[in-house]
Amino acid sequence: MHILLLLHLTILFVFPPLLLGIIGKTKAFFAGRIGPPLLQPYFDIFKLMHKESVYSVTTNWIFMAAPMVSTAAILAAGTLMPLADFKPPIQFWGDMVLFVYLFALARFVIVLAALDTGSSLEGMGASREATFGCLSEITMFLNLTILALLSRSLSLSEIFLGGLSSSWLQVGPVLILVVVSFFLILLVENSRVPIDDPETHLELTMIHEVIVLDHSGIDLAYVLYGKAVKLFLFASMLVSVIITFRVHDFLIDTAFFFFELIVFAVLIGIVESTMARLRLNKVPYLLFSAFIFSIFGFTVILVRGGH
Amino acid sequence: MELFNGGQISLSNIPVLTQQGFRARILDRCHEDARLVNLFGHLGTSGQVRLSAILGLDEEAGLEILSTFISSEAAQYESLTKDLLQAHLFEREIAEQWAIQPLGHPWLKPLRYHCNYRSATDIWKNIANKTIPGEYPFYAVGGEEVHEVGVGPVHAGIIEPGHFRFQCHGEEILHLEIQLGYQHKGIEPLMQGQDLKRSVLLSESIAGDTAIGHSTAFCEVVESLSGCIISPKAQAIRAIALELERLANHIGDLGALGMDAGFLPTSAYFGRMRGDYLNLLLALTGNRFGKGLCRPGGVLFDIDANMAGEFCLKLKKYKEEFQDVSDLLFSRPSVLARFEGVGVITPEDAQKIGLVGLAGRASQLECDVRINYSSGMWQFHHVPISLGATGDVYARALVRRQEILRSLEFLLKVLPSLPAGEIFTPAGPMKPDTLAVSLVEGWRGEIMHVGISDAQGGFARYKIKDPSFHNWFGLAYAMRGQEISDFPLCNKSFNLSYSGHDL
Amino acid sequence: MLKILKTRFKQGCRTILFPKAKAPDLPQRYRGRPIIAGQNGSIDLGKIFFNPDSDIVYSNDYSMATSKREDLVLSQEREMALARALNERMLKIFGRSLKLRQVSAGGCNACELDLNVLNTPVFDLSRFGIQFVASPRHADGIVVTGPVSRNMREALLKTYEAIPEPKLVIALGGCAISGGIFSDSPQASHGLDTIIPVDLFIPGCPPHPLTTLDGLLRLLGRISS
Repeated sequence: MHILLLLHLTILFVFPPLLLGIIGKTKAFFAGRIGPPLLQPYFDIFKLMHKESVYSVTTNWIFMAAPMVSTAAILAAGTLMPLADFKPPIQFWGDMVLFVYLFALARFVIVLAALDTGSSLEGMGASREATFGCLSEITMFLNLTILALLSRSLSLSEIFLGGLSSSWLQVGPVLILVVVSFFLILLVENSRVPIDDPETHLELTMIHEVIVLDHSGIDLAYVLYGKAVKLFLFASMLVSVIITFRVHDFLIDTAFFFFELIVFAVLIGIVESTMARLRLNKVPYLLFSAFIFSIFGFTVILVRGGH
Repeated sequence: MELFNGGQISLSNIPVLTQQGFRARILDRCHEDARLVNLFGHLGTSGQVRLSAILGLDEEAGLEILSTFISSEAAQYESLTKDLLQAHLFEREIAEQWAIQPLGHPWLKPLRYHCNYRSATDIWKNIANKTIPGEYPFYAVGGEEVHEVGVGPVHAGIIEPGHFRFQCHGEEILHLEIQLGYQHKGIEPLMQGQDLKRSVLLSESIAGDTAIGHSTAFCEVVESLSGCIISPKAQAIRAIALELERLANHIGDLGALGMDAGFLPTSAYFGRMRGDYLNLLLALTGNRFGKGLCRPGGVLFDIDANMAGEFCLKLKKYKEEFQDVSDLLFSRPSVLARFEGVGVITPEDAQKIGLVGLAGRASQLECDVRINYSSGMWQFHHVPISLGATGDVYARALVRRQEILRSLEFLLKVLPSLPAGEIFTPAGPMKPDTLAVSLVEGWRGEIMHVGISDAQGGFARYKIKDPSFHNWFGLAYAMRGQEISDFPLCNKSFNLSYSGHDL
Repeated sequence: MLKILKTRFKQGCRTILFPKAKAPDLPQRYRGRPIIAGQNGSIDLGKIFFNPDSDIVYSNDYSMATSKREDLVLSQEREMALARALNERMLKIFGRSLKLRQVSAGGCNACELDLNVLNTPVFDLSRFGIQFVASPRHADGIVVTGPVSRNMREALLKTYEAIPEPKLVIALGGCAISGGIFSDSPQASHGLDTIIPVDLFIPGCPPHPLTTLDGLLRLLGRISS
């Protein structure tokens, strides 16, 4: 029991940066170049841990604390999330609500830190992040509510560990809507193309990148790591909704789960390589469409009497 | 008094008018069919500042030149800008270089932040003591919800420095002001004197990506002043190098535009293709930017039949590759959605501001030195003008694409039929007290060099005009009412030179 | 989507295998490291302009980057001391992940463009873990081009101070090393090392991308002399 718990935590702590590495390699393939090694995010984080931090005179403790708090919140959310056959270390009735709000807390402190710098560029990025956050959070809640209704539980572990096993056969179209909506939310929350280009050097177009422009050293390491874990958790959720069956053999399920995650990372890499970035004023439209999909799905479920 | 491209005129033959006559003549001609191509100051023998204007008569391929004198005590004159917008930057430059006040100039602010050249009192206090922007009064928009965003001088990418001050309401730009001068190295004073060997090296470094454009213009000025006529082969090689430079830069721009729109595949391919053209320049001149090719009297490197054949084969292959990849870019709806309707400049505004080159042609202005003031190889092999219809980012990208194809066609025509002959005969001494002009269509637009020789065989004054000098204002103007996140794309669609502007 | 895959397979993977394999040959007219044999005196790589109409004879050798300013002065007495790797502590930190910030301090743009080329598929800096980042706070070092014009001096110093320790400084191009062709102008400096300490000098006007790449890789210990 304890070994499984340790294993779960180890995967949660160690695996996420590899997803970023896979995305990087896929994009490099499409660009016709060799690209950074798969383990590059690990090297980057390791290096940042050995660097000092530079703080500007306009910031105070909020700026220094924010990256730590943000990453801690994301990791805490990770302890609520089941992976493959692993039951999460913490589970209770209603933990899905805490899950969403932990991400909200992470976003909140990072935005506060951006405002703390007093830079107008970061202020702009903060306002964009907050606006998109409003729209994406409500959609995420709706999606999770649909899943909760289908699996008759408000606990993530029960939703994703078998709660949806018959749902694809019964309400397949609804789940398709949920998946599409969720995918769009994943792209927005993790600042991927077509919403935001994580490798851009154009400060005026950045959303997520510009608000972390002033962090350095260990703070930046936290930010980078938190980003990886957030992507990992969202990807896990999405993958668990798409592929709901379990063979109930521990090794096979876990291996298959990682395989799905890798395929998913490659898919994100393909999307990033083949789509152009949206004009910033079109992003709310994208978020609204995600919201509408969820509403449709939700309505169908309600009409069916909640199952 | 009329000149042609590459012509020269003795200083004593330039018509000198009174200040009112000068002003009236310029305004009259420019409101008809002329264009203010240059307006600069230089020191007369009596220590007075002499203002010279060069008007371009595009239809007749001629240039009109006229002068007036400003007394050093009064040190002022009535500004042309309030009636002719094209003069605005020229007058600011004259104010900074010669401490001459243009009365009634609506936007008199420092340009490059240096002390004036005649050791008089500078027009702006503390121009050289404080770090820029110093006392620069940015145009500010009032209101509680309006916020100001400043970007630069150090930008996030690998790009030259400049400061952009946006007045925004939310995401909409109400006003953009571009403040440059960070790259100022004082090139014009360095060009004075007798060391022509050094001056030609300087001309290659005015804007490194336009080394061939500027060095060709410099060589033409020296050749004009020394009465040297270069061989047809040298002319052909200069033209080939200039077109290769144009190709490399336009392709690089298309790649960058694709990347700024977030579409990554084409940026990688175009980036590599740009390298192919730079490698052709490297094979020809030993330098990826063509530095070391043009010298007064001809060129230093030859193209023999083997090299010409090799180049032709490669260019044919590159042309096919280019068409594939550019089709990929221009057929993506997501990319077109980012390009169309962004950063529009209407033809009327373009003409009022005096846009030149690529940006002007994208707004339907027919300005191309290779056609309007053709010289050298372009007199024999015409390159049809590439015009854009809508004046937006899409038009500027489309004009680039057309120009790439036309340059490739030009090269494939000229390379197989290179004239025979010498490539270099050193130019002789320059005629004293004479003014010469040369115009070159660099890849950004119209480059103009004006050289005034002194009595010792060197330059008393050398005036450099890069096309960016006209077009930076166009960029600032195009951004009004646009989204701030579209700015990088728009900036890239102009791709102007900071170093060429700042000298 | 299919069109993209088709174009990708047509274009292929273009990254050169250097440093594992030999670098592609440079054309015969390329002006690389000057040859000293048979000439008296010395040649300062940081001050020459690599122009064809000088007395200097050039070889085809692109590796010219050094760790010390003095090493740029070629003379007959000793062999050129190319750039050495960082010390062990720095190598441990930066060996696999080096983020650089570029500051253009008055350059003509040629050095900047040829630096940009290193990020393209042919040279692909990212496979070494080297990347150009948007903020000095994220960076481990700056690459400076241009003769440090008076108007850029303060911006350069501020950027330098914003980089967290440990940090590196790389001077790229003749202008950054000595002021280059502009060193006579009162508006330009006489070299970056008169303002801040420099760890790597890469000469050229502009340096060929292979020279820059070679210099960076030697600094990271991926190529040894």
